[in-house]
Amino acid sequence: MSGIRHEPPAVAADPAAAVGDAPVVVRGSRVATLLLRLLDHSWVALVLAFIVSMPIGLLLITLTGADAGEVVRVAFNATVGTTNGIVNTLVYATPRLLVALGAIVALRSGLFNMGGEGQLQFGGVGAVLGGYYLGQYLPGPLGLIAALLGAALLGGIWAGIAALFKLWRGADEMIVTLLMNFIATYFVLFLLQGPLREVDSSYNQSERIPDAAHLPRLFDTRLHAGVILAAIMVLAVWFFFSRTRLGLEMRSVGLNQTASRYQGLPIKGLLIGAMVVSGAIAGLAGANEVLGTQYRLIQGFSASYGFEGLAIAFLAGLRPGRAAILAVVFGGIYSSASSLQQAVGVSASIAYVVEGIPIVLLAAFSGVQMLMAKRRAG
Amino acid sequence: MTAEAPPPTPRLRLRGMRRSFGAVRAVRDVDLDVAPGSVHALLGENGAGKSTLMNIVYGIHRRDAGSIAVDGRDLDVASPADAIAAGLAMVHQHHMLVPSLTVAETVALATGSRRPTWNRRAAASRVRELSERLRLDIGPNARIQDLSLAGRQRVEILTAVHRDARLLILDEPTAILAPSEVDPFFELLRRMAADGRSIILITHRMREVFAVCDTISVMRKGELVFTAATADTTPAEVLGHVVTSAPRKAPAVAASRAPGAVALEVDGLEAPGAAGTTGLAGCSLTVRSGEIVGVAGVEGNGQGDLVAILAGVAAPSAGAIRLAGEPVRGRARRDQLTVVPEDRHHEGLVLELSVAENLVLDHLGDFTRGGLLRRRALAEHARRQIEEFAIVTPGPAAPLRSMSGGNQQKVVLARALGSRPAVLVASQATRGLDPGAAGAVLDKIREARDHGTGVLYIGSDLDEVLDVADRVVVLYGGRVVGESVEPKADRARIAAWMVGGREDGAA
Repeated sequence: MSGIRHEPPAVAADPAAAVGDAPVVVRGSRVATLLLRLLDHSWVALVLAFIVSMPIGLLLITLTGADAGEVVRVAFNATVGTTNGIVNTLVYATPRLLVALGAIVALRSGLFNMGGEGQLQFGGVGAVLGGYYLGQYLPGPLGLIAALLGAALLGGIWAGIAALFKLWRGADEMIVTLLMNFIATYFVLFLLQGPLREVDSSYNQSERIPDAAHLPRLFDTRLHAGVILAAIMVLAVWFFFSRTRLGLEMRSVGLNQTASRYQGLPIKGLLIGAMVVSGAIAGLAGANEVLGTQYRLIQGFSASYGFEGLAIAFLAGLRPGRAAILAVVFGGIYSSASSLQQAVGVSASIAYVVEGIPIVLLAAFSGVQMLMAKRRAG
Repeated sequence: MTAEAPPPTPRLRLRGMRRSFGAVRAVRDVDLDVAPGSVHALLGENGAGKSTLMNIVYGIHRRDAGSIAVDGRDLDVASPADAIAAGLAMVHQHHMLVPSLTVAETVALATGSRRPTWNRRAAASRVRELSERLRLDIGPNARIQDLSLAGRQRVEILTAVHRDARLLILDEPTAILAPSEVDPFFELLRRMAADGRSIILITHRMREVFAVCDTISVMRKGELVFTAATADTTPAEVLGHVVTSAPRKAPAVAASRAPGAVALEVDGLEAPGAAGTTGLAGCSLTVRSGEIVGVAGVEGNGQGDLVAILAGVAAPSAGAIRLAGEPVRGRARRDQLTVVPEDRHHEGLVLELSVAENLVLDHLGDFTRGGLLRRRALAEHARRQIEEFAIVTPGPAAPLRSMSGGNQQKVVLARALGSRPAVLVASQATRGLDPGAAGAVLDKIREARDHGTGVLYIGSDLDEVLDVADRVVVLYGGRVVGESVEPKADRARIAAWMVGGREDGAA
């Protein structure tokens, strides 16, 4: 139950099967290690935690005066009950998943990147720069590619700064990335009030991205190609860590930096690379919002996806596949909450409470386990 | 053991102390008397049971059997609080202080007073008074986080004296001190002894023992094997009790042929060294092809720096390394020189990665095509190495953590020898291994020697070094101070060099 570190060797007898799901212990940051110990559980525990959380969430919502039956009906329709529900769930899941994947890349390499939010913000700026300012001169889908590359580039650079501070002065990347979120958010606000502001608009928003640079819609619904992009990134991250040399080297550095140094791995390059890739993926989450749902950069376009992405990464035990499923669950919770806000008048913020319950349950469960283990040992 | 009758009531009297952890008998029937107003050294190798014994006295571990008496009164310690109440204090290697508090606050906190308020001025003046009496040079308003490690240690001692502790247990106190801080620290210990307090000094450094202690006790494999007044013994005698002298099972096999050309030259290496070690001060040695050169020495005399520099993870402040006559900077090619680092868990292996992955971490390029891992080649390579080195593992994909220490070490060795290097540097290659596994590791090293590899074998177990080496150099104070081409016959001389003595064996 206490994580995958103790998986029986028999499971690993086939080399091909085992390398992909290699054990994950982050050494780079004690906090990250502790969070993983608290939140990385077996499938069964994870599913149980969410199942137990649902009635608790329902109880909380009915305490605000809503009718339980009505709440269940709305939540059902907002998730698996209707096509629209499924679409909304996936649309809400996409940015959360991309940010989670970015966090996974950094955490597996031993870096605690808490800056997903800021990197996403800069990704949004990059999408506008590539999609509008460059895209209007580019033919066909090149505008979309320029927008995506711009987002990845700015997100990556923003994250890379934190890695440079770490290597240059030993600044803790967890603190640096966390605080850089505020710089990013306000810098983007400044851009939207000044240089990037739509001409003759009274809103803090950028120009509209030309149609060619949009993420194309799927099935004539709100669903757009961002969900495909995220799915590709899930496979890419999994493939990167299990099949490529660079991925193995980053895992090695994340697990044991001293031993990696003794084996001659280029530690500095790997750390910078991991952080840049992490930020680039988070930047794509920003592009996803700009190019897929809003078609422009709007003040406050991110609903704190950064931190939800981090929670998903830890709950998933840094496994990309699990992160995808958890992101869909989180998307469903958010979709339900926003429908409930319209239909029943419950604040959509209830979504964060409901997301928090399984996290608290799992952490408390681990805590009790640790205490009991300690008592037995003493 | 002077025969002055009647002997004073011992400050601490232990009888029949016993404690096992699982199947490991960490402390076996230990009797120990510590006289009032004395500094008593407790010597022994890592894992000899010194710290366990003292943790029992201090109430951190429970004892399985035995009695503890302080100043003649039987004491039943169940927790450190009991020990503190009985006038004991323990200063651990890793300090247990709150970084953001001032010295006065720390001392006030340590009184264990349950009163809701504390008197800042009284605490400050108490700190000043004690600091002056013990010449600690610590102000009451300094913050712990601003103090050096040595300063924090003095605060712990000050706190203990403030509580009027009559017995202080210091666990490897000089490990964190720079060489220049050691002598003032010893003077402090003498002053406290003159004050009537007793001090138990846990250490594995011979020099300290003779500089400051009244009595020396040696533990080995959980047993107390030797106790004597410092004046009545010699460093060589004490060292003889510290190092294991049990005969080895595997008979030593001498080199089958004469050593070849010089493979490794270490020339005048210098390095500042971490706190508690001497660093390197002009270390020079050579290793020829086909010979095992043993490096004997008490830990902390520069071995760590030597290995780190040879491994290419640290740079010397002066000096050069030459491989087959060619100077190298940084990391050597893996067909030139490979390293078995001292600590396989932290330096040698990534325990969460698989056997196959660990075996190739230092030459991943050979198993990569277009950035992708060639996983079949990787598994194939692992299978070959597993067979050649008789590694017991469920398979190439098994994580290292699931394997025994001996098999983990074989993985390190397989990687280091897999490239048939001209030079192998092996540091503490058998540490923590059972005799069978240790024998297998040593056999592999001898085999490599017979194939022409020049081996630099660094060990803290003197008898093992003498056993495996064709030639032995002794590292003391960061320099080679002696060399023997007949190690087994020269044991006494080598032991004397290890503690800084001259040729004749008298230190």
